Amino acid sequence: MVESRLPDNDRRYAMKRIDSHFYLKIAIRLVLGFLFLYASLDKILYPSKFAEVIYNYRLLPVELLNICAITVPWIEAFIGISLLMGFWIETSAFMLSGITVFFIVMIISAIVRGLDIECGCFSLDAEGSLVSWKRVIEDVFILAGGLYLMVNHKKPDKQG
Amino acid sequence: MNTSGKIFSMFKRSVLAVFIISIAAIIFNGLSSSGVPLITPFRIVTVGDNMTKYPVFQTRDQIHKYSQKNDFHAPEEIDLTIAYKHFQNYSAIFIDTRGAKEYQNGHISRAVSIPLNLLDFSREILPELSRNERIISYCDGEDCSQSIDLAIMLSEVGFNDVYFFFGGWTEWLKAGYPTMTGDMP
Repeated sequence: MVESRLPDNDRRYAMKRIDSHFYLKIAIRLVLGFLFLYASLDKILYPSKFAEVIYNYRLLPVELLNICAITVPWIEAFIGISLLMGFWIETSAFMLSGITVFFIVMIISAIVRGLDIECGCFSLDAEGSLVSWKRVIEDVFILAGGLYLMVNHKKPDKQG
Repeated sequence: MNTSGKIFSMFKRSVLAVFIISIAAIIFNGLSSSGVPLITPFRIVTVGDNMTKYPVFQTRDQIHKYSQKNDFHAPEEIDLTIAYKHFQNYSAIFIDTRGAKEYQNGHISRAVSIPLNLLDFSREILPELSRNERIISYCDGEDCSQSIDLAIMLSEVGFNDVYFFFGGWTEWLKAGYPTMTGDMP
């Protein structure tokens, strides 16, 4: 047994580290889970408004706007529920990281092109969330959380 | 499992999850009262040599409701309240008749730019657009008359549901309603 070979002090230190990771992981899971679930609700309820938000980014062909507006919020909701409930954590963290990289690229491209448009990040309220570097920084923190969960999740997800 | 194997395994599970979630989302959309068509409906708007696909962001219920057309009427003036109601319901095409530069500096969201001073009268106006579409023209505000001029022209070439929003850009901006800058997508 590895534990029995460690001196008491080292063992206590190792346990403390494990505990701190444990609580940090739970905290990140809950925060990101809540954020993603919250972000999905408005979009699920009003897909036509979300389709217009995607259109304003001017990146997708017109024909594909609705199908994206229908499916993307449900992917966000799945990630949120999975992180809150604690199943498929590794895969959800992977999906969260992927989707967040995509959001960051979209927001930066809008800023670079000088588009003064609604972000559509957490709600569909036009007044509340225009694209800005602040939104990019928020997304970078979310991405960091997702990568942390992905890398530090020791127990692999069960095969689905 | 090594790192690349782990990432590949997560990727496979993600693809599976996205596939299942997409099917669930499409089923929910089909049952929901706020559901939308899977392929975004659009109108083709041609101004000069530029052809733009103009998406219609309506729910299935709205498409059904607003597809019932009125008979021909002469161009009518509408106020800010009615213009905004049509904007919210996606039930009209807004046409900005100001100059291209003014349009780029700011316009009503989703508005199409048809600068009246550059209009080529030898060509048909909006040839691909159904003559039953509801159209609202606007310009700067009460000091300009391009919105009325365009509304009359459109009416003369067969559009049967044309309005002009006399308060125009000035009133819209003052009300804080959605605006955009730059060219049409």
